[in-house]
Amino acid sequence: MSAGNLRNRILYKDGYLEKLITDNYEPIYKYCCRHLNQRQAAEDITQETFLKFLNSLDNYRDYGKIRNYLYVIAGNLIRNYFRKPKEICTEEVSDSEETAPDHGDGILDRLMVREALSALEKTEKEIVILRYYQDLKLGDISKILGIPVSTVRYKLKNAEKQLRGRLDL
Amino acid sequence: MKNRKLKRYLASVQVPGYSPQGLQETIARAGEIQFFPEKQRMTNLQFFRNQLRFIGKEFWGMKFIFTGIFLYLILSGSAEPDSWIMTAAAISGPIVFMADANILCDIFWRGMLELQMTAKHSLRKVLICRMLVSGIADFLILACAASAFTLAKGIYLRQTLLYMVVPYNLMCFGCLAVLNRRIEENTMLYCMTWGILLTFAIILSKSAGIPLFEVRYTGNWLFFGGISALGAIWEMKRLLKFGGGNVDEVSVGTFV
Repeated sequence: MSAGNLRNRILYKDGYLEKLITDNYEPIYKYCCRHLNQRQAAEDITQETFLKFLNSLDNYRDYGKIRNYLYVIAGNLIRNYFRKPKEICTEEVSDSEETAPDHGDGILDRLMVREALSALEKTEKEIVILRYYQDLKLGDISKILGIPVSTVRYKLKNAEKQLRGRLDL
Repeated sequence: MKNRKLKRYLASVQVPGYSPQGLQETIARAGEIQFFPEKQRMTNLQFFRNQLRFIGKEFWGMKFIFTGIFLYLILSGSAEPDSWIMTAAAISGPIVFMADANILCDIFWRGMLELQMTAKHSLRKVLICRMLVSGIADFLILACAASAFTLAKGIYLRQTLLYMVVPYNLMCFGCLAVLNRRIEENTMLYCMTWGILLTFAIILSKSAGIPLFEVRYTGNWLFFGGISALGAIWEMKRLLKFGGGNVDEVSVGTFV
């Protein structure tokens, strides 16, 4: 979809803007939360993602789907967020996490998964998040990260291998 | 199989749900976004008001000083047709227009075209705006002076207006002709020369004893008034057509 088409839909199609935000809010929020581990910061970045997207419609680039473009914006905002010096926030996801029913080793598993994810190389971690948590296809991940599908596949395999090694699977 | 196990493991880490207020706030803020930046641009009226700031204090100062001097002359001098006060009324037009020529020449300085190509408003719009400002100011001054003259000395308003407007038109015609054939920084010099020539022509006519302000010469005044008005309109149209900057660069070409 071109920038003009998108602009026209937003401007002239009733309810399009609201639907666009409602449909994409949760995936983008979750993506932000995976990276930031803070609910409030994730909500802020999610909101900023949508506003940035709408304020710069003329710069819209086709990434296959609008959501893919939103992931690109969110990714950039998250990088900026980490670059900025900030106050230490005491609210961590771990405190308010929506957890799967805990069967004894649940907490330990979660900690191990987190640790294993943190140990991954930046791009590999991003690929794992987009693939396993956001359920994206390799083609979409390739568009979002701007790398060939073959590289995405290779890095994903590499990441999976590392994760299995760290999680003793 | 291995991947399924890994997926299950990874899925054990979940994120908290988002707050519905966050979503509502995002929708509300998105609704406030102005998708037509051109709507945020200044309106023609705002542009006109804004242009007034760029017209220097000297312009308004000159107009006020001139009006003050002229009103003083009217109220203190004699108003007989052969008196100098009528000559002063006649030379008021060229003098009043000198300040206008200055603000019109300002926008044709070297480098202005390059600047205006990056600007939001066309040179033509600036030109029209400045012509309007100076025209309205001059009209008010001349009308005010002519009314004061009529009220104070009992001379017909139409007669006073004629003696004021015809030299003004001549000055206007000459200056616009110079602007249309401008030679960079000498434009103002040529405009001033034309104004001084007109002023001296009127003063010399008076000194030589030519009864310019007698009723029998009204036809001549009207003739020159008509010619100069037509000439001024012609030159103004030409200036607006060819002095429009980048718009005309493409469509009709420009000599800037």
